[in-house]
Amino acid sequence: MADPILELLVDVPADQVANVEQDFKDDDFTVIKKKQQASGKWSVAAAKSAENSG
Amino acid sequence: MRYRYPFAAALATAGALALSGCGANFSTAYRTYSLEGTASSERPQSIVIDAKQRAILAAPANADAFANDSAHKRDVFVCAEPSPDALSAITSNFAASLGGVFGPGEEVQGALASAFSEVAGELGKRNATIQLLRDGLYRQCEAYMNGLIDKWYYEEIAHKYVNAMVTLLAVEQLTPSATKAQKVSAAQGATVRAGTNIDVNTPGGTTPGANPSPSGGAGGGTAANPNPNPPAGGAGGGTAANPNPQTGGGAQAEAEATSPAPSVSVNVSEGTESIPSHVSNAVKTMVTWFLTKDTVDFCLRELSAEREGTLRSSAFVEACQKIVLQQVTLQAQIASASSPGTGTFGIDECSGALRSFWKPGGIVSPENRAKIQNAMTEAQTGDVSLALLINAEELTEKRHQVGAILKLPACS
Repeated sequence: MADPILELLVDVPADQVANVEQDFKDDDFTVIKKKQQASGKWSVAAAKSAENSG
Repeated sequence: MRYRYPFAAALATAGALALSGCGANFSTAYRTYSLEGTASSERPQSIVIDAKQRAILAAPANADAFANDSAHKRDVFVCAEPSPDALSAITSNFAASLGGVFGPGEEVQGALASAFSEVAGELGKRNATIQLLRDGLYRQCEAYMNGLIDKWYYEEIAHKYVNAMVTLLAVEQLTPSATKAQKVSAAQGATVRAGTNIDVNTPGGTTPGANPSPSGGAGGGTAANPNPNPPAGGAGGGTAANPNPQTGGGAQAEAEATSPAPSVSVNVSEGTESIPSHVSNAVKTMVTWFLTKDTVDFCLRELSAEREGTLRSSAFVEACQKIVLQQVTLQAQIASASSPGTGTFGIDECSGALRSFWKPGGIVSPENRAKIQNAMTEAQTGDVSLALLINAEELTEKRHQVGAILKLPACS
């Protein structure tokens, strides 16, 4: 089995999180997001299996 | 206690200095000595220098060591001992006792106390790799000096240390605890924030998989969980996840520290001990690569000998060829693992244009998606997703290239 595809986008402003999240979801990624305590911005992690890529 | 007469004070100082003779001896910065076992006339002088005492060993070279290599013949072997980790703290009792000899305000007190007081301090940061290399290489030198290994074996060990150094340093630098607040540059100009970790925790022993989003995609939504050992049991209903989300389908793990259980909490912080999966994969790969490196070197030598006519069994040659092929594959994995899709948010007009082209009216167009994919291939964007291409600052140039191929005005 191929390694999963993992991507991380940091410093996402709060008003852009929904767009970023939707982009990844539309790209068949599973999305995990977390607010960065210090900056108030968000980190968005996305993953999908290599078989699901394309 | 105070001395009323200058003479008494001077006498006390002289006595204290004499009593502190041992401490002064330890502070000697340069001493020489000879190793036993050779005639005094031929005995090379070894040196002990400060910091605090570091030996530079010198011994007569064994003539046999250069029997077949007269060009590099040496009369003396020299090995420099690794320096200690910290300065020794020799704070002379003499200095401390001066407070009882002289009264406050007498200048001699401060001067002498300063002269005899040494503060312990770390000479430099030494990680495990540095410790291993400095000690190992010194012992190697000692072994050579003592005739336990010959020149050729010494060179072979030195060569292997280079491999070990590269691998171990890479492992240490890829480990977040060793790279706090550091950035590791990756291929394609991406920045890997090594101190930024993603760790999916399971508060309260709940199942980490969970169905992350009731409105998530089809298939029940298996959440991505970088934690390889999620605790079992608990509510949640979702399939316990693993790093390979098999039925992603748009499932979403909403993660906040304040989320009620069952939930997935995500810890993105700097300098924690958790290791992102792509980093741990890279570390595993590099360790494997290191462990097989010697075997590969051996095989390459043997395969070379095969070409020169040395007879080897076909099974041996086949096995070695397989090992070499595996090594090449591992190196390719290392290159891939060290350049994950990581970026900082940064969009422009081209981002919006690409998004609109991809999702006209907010609905994904498979046809346009295929066109974008072809353009990404043509622009050689590498293994990054379309989502990252649209939203990452580091991919701005590639984004505009793709947009230009698609003839999007905002990207030209």
